Amino acid sequence: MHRTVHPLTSLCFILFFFAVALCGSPTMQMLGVILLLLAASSIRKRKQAWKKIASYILPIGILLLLVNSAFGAPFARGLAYALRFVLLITPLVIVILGGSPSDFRLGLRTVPIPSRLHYLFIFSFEIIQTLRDVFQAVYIGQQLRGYHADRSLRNKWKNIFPLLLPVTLIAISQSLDRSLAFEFKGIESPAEKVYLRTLTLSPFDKLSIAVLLLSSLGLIVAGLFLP
Amino acid sequence: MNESMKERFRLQTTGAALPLIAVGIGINLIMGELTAVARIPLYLDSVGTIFIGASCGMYAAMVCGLMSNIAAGIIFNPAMIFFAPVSIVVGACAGYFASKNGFSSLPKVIAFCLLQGIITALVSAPISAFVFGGITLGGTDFLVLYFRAIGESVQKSVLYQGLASDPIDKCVSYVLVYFILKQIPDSLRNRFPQSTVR
Repeated sequence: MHRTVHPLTSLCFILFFFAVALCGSPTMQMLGVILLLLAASSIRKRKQAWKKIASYILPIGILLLLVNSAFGAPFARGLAYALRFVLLITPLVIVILGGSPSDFRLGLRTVPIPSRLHYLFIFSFEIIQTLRDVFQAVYIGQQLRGYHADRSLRNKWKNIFPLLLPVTLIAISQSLDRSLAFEFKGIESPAEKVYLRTLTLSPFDKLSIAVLLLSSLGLIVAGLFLP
Repeated sequence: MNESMKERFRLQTTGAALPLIAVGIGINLIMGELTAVARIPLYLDSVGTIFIGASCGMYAAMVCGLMSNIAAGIIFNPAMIFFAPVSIVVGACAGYFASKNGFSSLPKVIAFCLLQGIITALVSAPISAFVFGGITLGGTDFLVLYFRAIGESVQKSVLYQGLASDPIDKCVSYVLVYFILKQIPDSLRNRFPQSTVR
C-alpha cells in the first residue's frame, strides 16, 4: 500500500537531487542516479516512469555524451552534462508520477497560498480537458466546411485562425460565466476552511525531511569547499 | 512588494480575471495540439500568457505564465518547470506593453515582439545550457549543433539559437494575440479587467 507523501517531503526529495547534481563529484552523481532509478522502480506508476526515462531522459543523456565527444570536449565533461540532466529531471518525474490528482489536491491545501491560486490551479486543469473537447469539435466543424492543413506557409498561417479564434471565444465566454458566479459568491471568504481530509507531517515525513535537508546542505558545502 | 503593487496583484488575480487566467493557461497548453494539426514548426506556447497580459494586466500574465509551466510540467514534460522564469518574463513584458497601449497597431506589435524575442532568448539561454546542455530533442537542436560545430561554447550556441528562433516564435504569438483582440466583440472585451486594450 502506498501512503500519501507530504508535499514538503517531495520538495526536499527534489532539492536533495538538485544538490547532488550541483556538487560536481561524478561518483556522487552516479550514486544519485542509481538511487533515482531505485526510487523510480518503487513508485505506483513505475511503468510510466520507466517509459519517460527511456523515451526522454535517456536519449538526451546519451546525446549529450555523444555531442560533447564529437566536438572534442573531454569525456568527463559530456558525462557531467548527462548526469546533471538526469539528476535534475528524473526527481520531478518520480514526484509527479508518484502521486495522484487527489494527492495533489490534498497537498495544495497544505501550501500557504491564497485560495484563489488554489482555485486557479484546479480550474486550469479542468479547463484543459474542456478546451481539448472544444478544439476537437471546432476542428471537425472546420473540416466539414472545407478546412485542410497543407504544406503552403501562407495557408498554414491562414489555418491557425479558423481553429484558434472559435476555441478562444468559447473559452472566454465560459470563463465569464464562472466570473459571474464569483461576483455573487466571493471566493475569498474570511472564515477558515474545513476539509474532511487533510494532510499533516507524519514522523516518517519529519525524519525524511531532516535527513534530506542535512544531506543537501552537506553536499552543497562539500561542493563549495572540497577540491 | 509595496501596497499599490499588492493591490494591483489582488485586482488582477480576482473576479473576472481569475477564470480568464485559467483560460490563458489552457490556451498555452492546447497550442501544442493546434500547432501539430496546423503543421506549424513553432511552439506558440505563450499565446495564452500574452493574451492575459493584454486583457488582464502584468501580474495576471505573470501568474498565468508561471502556472502554465507548472501545469505543462505535470501533464506533458517535467523539464518545462525549469522554464517558468521565461514565461514569467514574457507575461511581465506583455502586460507592460499592453499597459502602454501597445496592442493598438500592428507595427508597434511587430517592433515590440522582436524585442520580446531577444529578452526571452537572454533569459532562456542560461537555463537551457545549464539543464539541457543545449540538447532538447527539438528541431532547434540543429541550430545549436551548427554553432557548436563552428567552435562556439555550449552557452553561446544556445544563446545564438535562442536569438535566431525566439523572435520568430514571439512575433507569431504577438501577432496572433493582436488579431484575436481585434476579433473579440466589445461586449466580451468590456468585461476584461484591462478593458482599455483596443
